[in-house]
Amino acid sequence: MTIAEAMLFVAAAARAQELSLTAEQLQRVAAVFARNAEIAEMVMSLELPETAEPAPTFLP
Amino acid sequence: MNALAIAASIRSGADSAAAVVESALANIGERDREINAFTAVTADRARREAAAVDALRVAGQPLPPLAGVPFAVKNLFDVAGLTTLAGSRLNAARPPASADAVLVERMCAAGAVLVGALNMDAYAYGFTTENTAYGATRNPHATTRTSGGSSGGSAAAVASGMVALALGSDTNGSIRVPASLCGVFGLKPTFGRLPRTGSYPFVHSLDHVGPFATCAADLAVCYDALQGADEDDPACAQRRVERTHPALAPDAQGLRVARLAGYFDAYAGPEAHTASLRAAEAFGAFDEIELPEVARVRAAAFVISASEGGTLHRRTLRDDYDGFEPHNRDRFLAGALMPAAWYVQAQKLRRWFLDQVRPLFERYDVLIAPATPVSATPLGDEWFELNGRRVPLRPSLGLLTQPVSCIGLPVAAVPIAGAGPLPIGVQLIAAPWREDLCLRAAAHLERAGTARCVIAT
Repeated sequence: MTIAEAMLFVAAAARAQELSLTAEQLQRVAAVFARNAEIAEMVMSLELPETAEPAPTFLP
Repeated sequence: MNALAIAASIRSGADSAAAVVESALANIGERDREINAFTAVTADRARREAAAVDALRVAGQPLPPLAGVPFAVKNLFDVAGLTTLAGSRLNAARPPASADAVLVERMCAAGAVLVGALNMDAYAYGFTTENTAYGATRNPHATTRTSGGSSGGSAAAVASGMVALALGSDTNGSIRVPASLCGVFGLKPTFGRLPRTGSYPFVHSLDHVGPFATCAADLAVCYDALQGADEDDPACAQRRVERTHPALAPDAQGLRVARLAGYFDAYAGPEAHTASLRAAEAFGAFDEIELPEVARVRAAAFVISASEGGTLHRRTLRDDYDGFEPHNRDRFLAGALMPAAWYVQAQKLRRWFLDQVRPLFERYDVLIAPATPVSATPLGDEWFELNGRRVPLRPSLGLLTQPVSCIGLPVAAVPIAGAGPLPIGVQLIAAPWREDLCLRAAAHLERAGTARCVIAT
């Protein structure tokens, strides 16, 4: 995800959550979001079985 | 003096709890000017609690196991009469807590004497305890360096001898990272073992709470005092107390130990690698294991933390962005905006990874890994060198702890002697609910002289 793409996404998602960002904040948050997207790509690219259960309340 | 020695001296009458507390308060007054571990000192309460311990002794009543031992807690634990800061100046305007957190109650029920609340990264989102509102907590072994975080105040208070015991929390490494950098013992129990009731949350599905100490025996006694179910924390397992201190065996006989390699070597600097090897040698453990997809699991922990943490603070980020800690407000905001698909996949990955790891514990009781990639870095640094690569400091100090807490395994963080000029520790990891094995292994390393906590004076 490029910074420009991240800025578009962050601006739209922030509006949807009623978070208003100044231009400067938008730039900083988009930079963090782009890094998050790189990290999330590692999570998303692992193919798990369709039956894999999420663990929202986790009890090992 | 360690906690058990303090309790013994009070029990025998060689010392009074009042004298111990006065000495601790004087030491805090002197030492904390430099370290900045405390955000509040509860002197009046401490004197009252110490007087109660002394009264019990004078009356010939049996004293509880931690009678008269000074302790302090990360300031995300509720302490009656104090505002629960959770490291944030936004919380300072809130009313004081009306009751103690459950773990604070349990420490006091075990006779320990609360002397104060301790500094942390704002809302626990950080690994350096560089807090813009309350100042940085300095590493007692090198005061120009970080104490680690987010429970940096807890580790530094123990490492400097201001308290014998402290409580902290660990979501991604916030007990193990500062324990490693300050050279003290820490325990992150199994997820769900200790109740978080009355502590300020960060990431509900990853938050753990646990103790710091100067030796394995203190850690075990303290952990035993903290155990027990609590229905007010929905994640707290309703398990009976399984005492660990009586089972700290005189040797490590029968413990099956292996060292984690692969990812855990790739992200270990030379001192961390040395620490891991030394710990393995002390057990005569030559098996090395590579876990699958560890980098992805670390990424899953990152995604879950950002998403849950950001969502927790979404309203405040909207209403008072400027009041947030500058070090982490953009990370919180970016986390609040993460797509649900990332979060759900991360939660699936977590369960999948535990299924991969669990069978290993049929062959091994304890797995060894370094706790931090490097020893304490200079305050203010944003980057560090790791095996020839330049990596961002704030998110990367937890590279080796995040994959382990992501699946909730119990871990003792243990300081390894002589791995470098500054303290550095290893993680001793066991199967779910086997804190006893982590602590047995920690005690063995200590007896062998491989692990040692040095108080910085």
